[in-house]
Amino acid sequence: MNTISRSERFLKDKHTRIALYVMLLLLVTCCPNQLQAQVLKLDSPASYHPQPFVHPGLLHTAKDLQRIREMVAKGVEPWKSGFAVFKASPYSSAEWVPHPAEHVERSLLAGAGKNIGDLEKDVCAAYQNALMWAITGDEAHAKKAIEILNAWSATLKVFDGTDVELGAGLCGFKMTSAAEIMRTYPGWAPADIKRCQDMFMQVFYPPIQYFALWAHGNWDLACMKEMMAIGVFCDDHALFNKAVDFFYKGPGNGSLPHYIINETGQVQESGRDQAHTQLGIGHLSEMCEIGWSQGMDMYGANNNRLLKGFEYSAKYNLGEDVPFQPYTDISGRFPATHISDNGRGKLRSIYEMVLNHYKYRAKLPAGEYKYTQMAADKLRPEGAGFNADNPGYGTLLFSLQAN
Amino acid sequence: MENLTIINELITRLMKMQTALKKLIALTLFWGMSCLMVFSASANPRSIYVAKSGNDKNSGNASSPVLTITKAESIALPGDRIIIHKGTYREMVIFHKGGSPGAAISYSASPGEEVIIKGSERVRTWVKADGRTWRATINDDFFNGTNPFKEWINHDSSYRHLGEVYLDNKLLNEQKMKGDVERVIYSWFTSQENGKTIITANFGANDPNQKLTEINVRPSVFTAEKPGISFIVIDGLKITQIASAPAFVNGVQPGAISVNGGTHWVIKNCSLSYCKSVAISIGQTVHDYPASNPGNPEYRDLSQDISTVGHDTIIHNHISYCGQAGIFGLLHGTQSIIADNLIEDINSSSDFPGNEIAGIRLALAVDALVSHNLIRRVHGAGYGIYLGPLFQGARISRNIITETSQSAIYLYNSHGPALFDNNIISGPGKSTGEGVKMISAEGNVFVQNLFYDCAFINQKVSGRTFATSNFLPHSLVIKQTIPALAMDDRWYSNVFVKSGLDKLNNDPDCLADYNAYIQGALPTAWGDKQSHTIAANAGFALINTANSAKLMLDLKAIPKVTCPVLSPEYIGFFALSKQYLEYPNGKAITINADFKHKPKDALSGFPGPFYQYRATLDNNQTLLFAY
Repeated sequence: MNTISRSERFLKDKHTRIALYVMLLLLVTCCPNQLQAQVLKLDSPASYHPQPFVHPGLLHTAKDLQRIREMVAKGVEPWKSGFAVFKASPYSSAEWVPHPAEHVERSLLAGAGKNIGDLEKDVCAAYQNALMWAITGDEAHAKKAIEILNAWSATLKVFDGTDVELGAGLCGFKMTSAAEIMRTYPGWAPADIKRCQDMFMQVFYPPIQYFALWAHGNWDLACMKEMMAIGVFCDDHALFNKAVDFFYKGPGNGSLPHYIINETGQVQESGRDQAHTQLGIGHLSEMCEIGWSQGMDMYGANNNRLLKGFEYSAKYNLGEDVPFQPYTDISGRFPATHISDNGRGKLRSIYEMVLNHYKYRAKLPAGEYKYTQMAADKLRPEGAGFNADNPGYGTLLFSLQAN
Repeated sequence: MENLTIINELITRLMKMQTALKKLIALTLFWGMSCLMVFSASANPRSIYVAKSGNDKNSGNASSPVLTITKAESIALPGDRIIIHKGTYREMVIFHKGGSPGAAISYSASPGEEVIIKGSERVRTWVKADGRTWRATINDDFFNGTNPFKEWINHDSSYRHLGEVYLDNKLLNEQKMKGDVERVIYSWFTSQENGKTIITANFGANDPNQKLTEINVRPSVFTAEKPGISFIVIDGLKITQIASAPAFVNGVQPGAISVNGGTHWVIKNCSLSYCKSVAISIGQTVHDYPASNPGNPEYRDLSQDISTVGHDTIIHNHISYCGQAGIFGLLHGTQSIIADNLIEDINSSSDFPGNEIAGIRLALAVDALVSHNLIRRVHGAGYGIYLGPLFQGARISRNIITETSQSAIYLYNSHGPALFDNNIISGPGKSTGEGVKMISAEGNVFVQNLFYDCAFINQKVSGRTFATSNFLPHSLVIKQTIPALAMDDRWYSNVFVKSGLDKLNNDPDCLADYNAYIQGALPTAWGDKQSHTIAANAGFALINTANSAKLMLDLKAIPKVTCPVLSPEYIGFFALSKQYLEYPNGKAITINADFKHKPKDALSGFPGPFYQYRATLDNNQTLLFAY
């Protein structure tokens, strides 16, 4: 039996459910809007995933990749049009030429940086070539993905900068996602895989290890999702647990209850702008999807809180009004008195993954994902995620049923 | 130097030739000679002597000293030592060039000799006026620059000028009304009449023309002409009677000694007294940042290369009777060391305007070390040590601060971390100021301090969002610009006498424990589980003599409180600033030594700045500081 079934049994167990509800209730009631600190002292996290990891097991399991491959091969919608958009991306080309560097600096806040643009492009190319190989079986894409991964793991030594957490989190996540797909390719030498794992542990992990407790939640989340991904790719359960623990109850803005702050679905960054808001809930959903790949239902956490965040954000960005509660974030630094219309209406490619989960896996009533459905419908087929921010191409990658 | 004379003569002759070609030749030669001069100077640094018996036409050799420090400066090259013989010099030395790494230009008193440099001039033209008053009429050219009797410290709020009048080196008191001079002995009043400065003064029974009567003339003694003049050493000089103009954190920052944007200065063994505003300025002129915000943080246009700022050493100086601050500066406190200085009687007339008055006032002072200074009697709106905005990585250690009208330590607007260890602070009393006041200052770690009768404040600025930057560790590269709050402080292993931390709010992630609260001092309501509270009278007294401070304490009153090792891990990692408490080289700090540098050992069980009170205190007194 696969692990989902085991976990479903676990979650359906009456005592387990009661314990989980009590735990969540305690979490909600014990975490009023009290400021949290920047001095990081985390308790040892629970063992969220004691069994061996599923591989590939980030955003796409073998079963997921098989579905995409079959549907694309058969020309079934929506995969057909999703693939057309995906294939047209320059990052999906086997002709991509990587530009590895020894030192990457992300200091966009300071108006500077080194090689970060090259890395962002290369991780998109690695991820999309890995997917192209998985979907088409074309070895040229496999070789390209591995060429990019090997080139960077042989070269990159230093990752720093004022916003290194974002650089390492976002770029690292896409690169780890590429590597996790490619680990099943027999042409990737074990020594090269090990070197790639070492790069993640030694170059990407240090900058994200303390999260970003002082910042808007998308910073924590960039760290969290990459930490979770490294945990799977490197079979490091401690890292995985640390990230998942932060998702449930981390002291920063990035934890689920701190990021989607209430039952209306208001997001910690709703008062900042809509681009970051969508970026952040996208990160949360990616963590949930990894969790699902590994047999965990993080989507259901806090009574489907993730979906509420999506519904709220989609509704507002589709032009409707939403309630707004004046809110000071958990760091105390970013008070917001009203929702921000900065970027309103510019939907990001984040909706298909979440829609498909709640619609087809969780089988919720349509009213609960109404606006997420509308946003996905409006975008379909979903295109690229912004730079290395989110995976994008959700129509191709996360559709579960044919039109 | 003979070669140089010949070269100069050659250049002069060439320059008289009028053709462009000849000019080009001359310039080429000049360039070549300049390079040669630098090379020869670096290779053979020399001593240049200055004496009151000298002559500025002399070579500066030991047997042929020059008369003025200014002349010596004009001929000094990197690595040269200017040695000044005894006497009183009246000049303002403007540095046009600095030294270089390993080849500083030094200005030192000849060993064992008293060298006094005054910013004043003697006046002997006093005319008897009404009653007991005398009157001097002074032309502007007497001042050879800015006339301090035409300048106020703040015309809007004070009648006091930058000028001062001294009789036998004693300060006379400026009066607001001319009529008061007749009534108040040792006072003066100034006015402008027909383009001349009139000083009306009451010298009591003294004849000012017979006595040593002096008035402020010059705004500085040593100042760099422009930013970037570095590697200067000033050693063993007595500097006094300076009309230094007020300094502003976001403005001009003059001082009796002013690095003016220079770095790697060493100022040691000097005394500075009667400076109207600031004694030693380690700042530079900067502008205001009225439109600063997270996307446009203040100070972002200053150097981000930490090696190009600060690194000054200000050590073992005696600073007294200065109006605004002993040591002041924005930016160049960064990675500087301020140690073993006696700073006293700041703003002694209690009427210096503004809120920038302190024994030591530093802003943008990353990794500054302020260690073992005795700061006492800071009057008016004066603080002991005032830091901020931005003092990430600063360490305030082993200082003795007493008799400050406002807070002994005022911390403003920084994300931390900063370390305050082994300080002994005798508070001003709850009614007038605080031991420590923190306003939007995060991540301050207080360990092994002794606080006597101190109140404490920890607040964020209400109603205003500060755009406060922090930096990549040990750098000036801005990492984040976000509001600073009241949070993340640590209070471990301190001794509080008479007044404790009980009024402090339970601000986010503030921790307090392993402290001793004595003689009515009360612990926090939210921490201090392992702390001890004892009612006994501690018999605390800080005994100030002319040049020392001793501590008196009833030894039996201090309880043993076993505290964990104050390691970086125990204090915590400051995730915003991405650093532990660290030395400027990045090595993490474990606080395992006391005020006397005694290392912590298994027997060390006392909180506060002394690990073993009974063993180290003699007759209930221990010497804390001697100048």
